[in-house]
Amino acid sequence: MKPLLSSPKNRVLVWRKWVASEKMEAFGALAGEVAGKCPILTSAPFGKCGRVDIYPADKREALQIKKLLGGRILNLSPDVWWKPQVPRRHPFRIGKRLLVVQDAKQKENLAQREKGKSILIVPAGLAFGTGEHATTRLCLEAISSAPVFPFGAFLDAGTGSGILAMAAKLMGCSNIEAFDYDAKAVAVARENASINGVRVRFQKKDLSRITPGKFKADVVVANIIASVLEKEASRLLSFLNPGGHLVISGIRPCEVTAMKRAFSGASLISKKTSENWCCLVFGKRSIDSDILKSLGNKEME
Amino acid sequence: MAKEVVATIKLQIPAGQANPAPPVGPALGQQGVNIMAFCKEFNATTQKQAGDILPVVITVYKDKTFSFITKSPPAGVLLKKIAKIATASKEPNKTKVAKLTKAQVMEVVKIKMKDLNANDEEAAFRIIAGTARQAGIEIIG
Repeated sequence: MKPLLSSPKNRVLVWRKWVASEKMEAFGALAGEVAGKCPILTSAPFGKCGRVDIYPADKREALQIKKLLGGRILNLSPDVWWKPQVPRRHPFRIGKRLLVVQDAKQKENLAQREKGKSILIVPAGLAFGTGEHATTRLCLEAISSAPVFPFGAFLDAGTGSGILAMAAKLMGCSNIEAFDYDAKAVAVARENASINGVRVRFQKKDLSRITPGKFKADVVVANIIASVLEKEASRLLSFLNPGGHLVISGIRPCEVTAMKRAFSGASLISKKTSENWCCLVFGKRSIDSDILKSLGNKEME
Repeated sequence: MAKEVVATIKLQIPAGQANPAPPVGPALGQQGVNIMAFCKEFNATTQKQAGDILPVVITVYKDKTFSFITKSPPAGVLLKKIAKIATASKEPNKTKVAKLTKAQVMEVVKIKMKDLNANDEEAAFRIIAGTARQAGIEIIG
């Protein structure tokens, strides 16, 4: 089986066996032991049978499992495992300037009605960030209202589908850096950039291995998870120009206090919550305000 | 009214590392679950247990929404971690691969207790000792 590329075009090989519900757990454990892989047990409520699936690495492995345990080998097409995803029927409106749609057809239909607005195409791909999730939406709202646009430099750490970086590009930002540690996500982001006809440099980089201060941006966005943000707080702040904004998301309300502590080097500007997810915007004090403050102190003396 | 359940999916995923590649993507995608939303939720919930493999039970509802619960890591995985071995014995009756003290096994019992069908720690110890025996791990003391 070829590795999955930027979009789910590949078929997925699966070994499958239906067994009586009461035997499913025991058979699943046995199948997992034989195959040396994690079995997936799927059952319907009150169903008499359940199915045990194993995703082998290649056909040879699949045949080996079949020889030992029986069952069937299936080649799942993307129509079976990807298309059943809930389709997005309506475009997302982010602020007054941006619309996010799923395909070129939707964009075409909207282009005539929504003149003067930027329309971004982000299909559901194998990377996080189609605009539907609360964290992505909150980040988009935060960057669309950042005062440094359209001239500032922009950095997207953990870019996923590249939605935030592309949105910044459409809002007029020219100097954009975006990276993700996952090669698949970078491939998806590059594909999305070519669909939208925008030029953004997406790189495969691990945030924890980037030299602090290597990038300098006026807006830094990191929609990751709280534990990573907490660990890399000082590194993320080192990328921020004085007067710039740091937008972080992927945080639960209970983790906000820890985030405030971790990013104490900057001041909290705003906090927004949606669907049990939070987005925090921090501001780094500009040099001017520091100078003015010190001058004010001297005058007082 | 409670939402109608259409399927229950049981699988094991490394904590904080769910991604849409097989097996997670196809397993959930076939039920119409939003794969990326699940990955984000799962990774955020399990970020503190990074490094452990967690059994997860996902309930899929008729409107394609989902909920999930994570359980304690499998006893075999915990025993191997404490015994500092990569794989269990292929012939547990003949080849023993590690030795653990009763106190070390009790550590596993304490982690697994909430998910075991046992009345007390003594009964739970016997369950875990059985798993250890199957893996070729000897319990001393």
